[in-house]
Amino acid sequence: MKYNFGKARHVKNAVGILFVVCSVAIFDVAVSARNSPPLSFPLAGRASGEFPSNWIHGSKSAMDNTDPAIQVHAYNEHTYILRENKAINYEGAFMYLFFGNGVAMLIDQGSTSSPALFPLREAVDQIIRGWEEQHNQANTELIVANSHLHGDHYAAWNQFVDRPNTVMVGLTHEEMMAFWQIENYPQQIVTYDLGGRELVVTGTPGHQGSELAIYDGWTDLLYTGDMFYRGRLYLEDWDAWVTSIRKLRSIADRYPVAHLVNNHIEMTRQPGVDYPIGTTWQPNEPPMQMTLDMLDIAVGATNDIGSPGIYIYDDFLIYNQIPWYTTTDP
Amino acid sequence: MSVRNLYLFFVIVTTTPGLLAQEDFVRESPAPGNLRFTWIHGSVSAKANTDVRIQVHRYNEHTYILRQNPAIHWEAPFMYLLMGNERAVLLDTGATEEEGFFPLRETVDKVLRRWANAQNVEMPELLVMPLGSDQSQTAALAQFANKPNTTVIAPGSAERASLVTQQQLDLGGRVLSVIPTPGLDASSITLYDPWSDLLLTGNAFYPGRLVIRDFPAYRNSLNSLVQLTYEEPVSYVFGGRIEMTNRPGLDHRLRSNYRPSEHSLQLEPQLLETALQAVNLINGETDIRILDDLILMNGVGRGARDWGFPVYIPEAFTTPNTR
Repeated sequence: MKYNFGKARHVKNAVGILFVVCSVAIFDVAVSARNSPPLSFPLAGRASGEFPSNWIHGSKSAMDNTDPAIQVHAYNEHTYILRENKAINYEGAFMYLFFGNGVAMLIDQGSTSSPALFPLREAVDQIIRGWEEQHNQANTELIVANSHLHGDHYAAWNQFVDRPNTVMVGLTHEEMMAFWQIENYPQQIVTYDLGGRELVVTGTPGHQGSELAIYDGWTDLLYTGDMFYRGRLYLEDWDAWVTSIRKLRSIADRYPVAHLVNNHIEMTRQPGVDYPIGTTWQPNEPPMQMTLDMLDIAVGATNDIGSPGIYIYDDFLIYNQIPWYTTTDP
Repeated sequence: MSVRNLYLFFVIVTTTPGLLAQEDFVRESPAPGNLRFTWIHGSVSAKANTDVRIQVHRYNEHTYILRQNPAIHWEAPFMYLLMGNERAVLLDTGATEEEGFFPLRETVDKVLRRWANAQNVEMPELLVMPLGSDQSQTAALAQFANKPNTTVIAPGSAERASLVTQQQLDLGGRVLSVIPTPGLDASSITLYDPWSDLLLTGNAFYPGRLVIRDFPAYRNSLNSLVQLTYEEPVSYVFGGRIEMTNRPGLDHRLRSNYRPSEHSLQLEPQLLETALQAVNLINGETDIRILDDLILMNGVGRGARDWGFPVYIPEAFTTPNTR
């Protein structure tokens, strides 16, 4: 009986422990389910996306242009590419909006300050609202960042300064580097966690001394800003650019790259022929995204070019520290 | 009132409108003109531009200056409409072909009809004559192709060649001198209007980047224009475009379609002599000479001088002759 009693007590204890363990486990699972990010951005595989068949490209008479001020294109559900209308500013700059859990990052803010002429904040707010609804998210924080510090890429920065729930990275080299936690620019390669979406960020000076390239491991997009695009690559520091473009190549060796994406289109579809600078109408543009073959050609060019001047390649022109009287304008 | 007075009154009343319609275009001093206003000059966003497509300015009773809106085409060229007793002439036709974007024919028609009404004359015959063959002078020529009572005198045509040989264009009382001014453009001509003492140089001489294509020809052209200023009174030189800002030596960027603080369109005739001196200094060499009111460029492309002063000239490219 005693024995039995003892046995029964053991069973009672065991049941009690089991109950506690179970309830802790259930609580744990429940809590972790609540905390686990609903969106995942796995590095393995590739999140596919699509580019538009045509970007808006201005019109013959700019004052008769009927396109939207900003073309908003969803590359995929968490990646947006925006283009400024060339009838507003001839630069026709591209801007990027990357989403992670609870956070969105806007890279670059176009070439026009006025919200009346170029309502970037409104467009970004609308995208974020739609994205939140679609993915059951709320209170998304916006990070306003820049690829580099040139006026045709931060003109509408001012539109966001009083926006709630917004992080302004800043328009100085120091603020940029502090945000990305780059202590050794441009050599250092850092990874940034954008709400579970891993970005690889590194310095790529040459066009401008604070430029960054961003690799998104989820979509395998390599964003090269103004230092590599289909157009006139104005290089103020040739040696820095050589190092940068070779570093892009080594990043592309280390990570899978789907497309190289960037900030402008200035070439025509005819190899080696660019649209004249300042034009507000580009009816025959090639796609914006570039291939690794083009990157290889650029890397090859670093071995061929030894002096300042204009060097013409099929998909881009290298304006190496050009002097005032060198021009392709007839 | 006697019968004779009544007859005289009748004669005066019936003939005066006819007399009014005839202007003899003879004056001791140049016919004055109005320049106290601002040209349309585009906007920050061309897409949001709300200016007129063609600005029409009445310089004086028989002289109109038209400007194309920079938001339609960045060249924003000027066109001149001069009226005489028998015909009117439109010099240059803008930079855009499409009537929907750039209704030049309609605008010129309106101006002429209004002028004819005010003068109490029939609609005059219209001559359409670009002063040169540049795209910004000839684009809308086709708008006038089938227009009644209109003659198009295109660059390279026999009619134009004969005008150059005759050295004059008679609008009926208002006889314009025709001076060939090649150098930037082989087919360029300049007109001199002895009534309002205007020298209409088109794209041969204007406040902007003058890209010399044929150096000896341009030197000769400037020479003949300078000679003309010695022999005839010239109140202003009017060109076909404005590319300079109102800051000495500073131009607006090539293809910019927003140009606040433009240089004035009209130039003083003395500037021709200054420019000739600069051209003599260039002396056929590859060079860019920046004057306060215009920039002379020889042997380089049109984009060579973009906006702003040069900030970075690599060692390898500096020459003893810097600006």
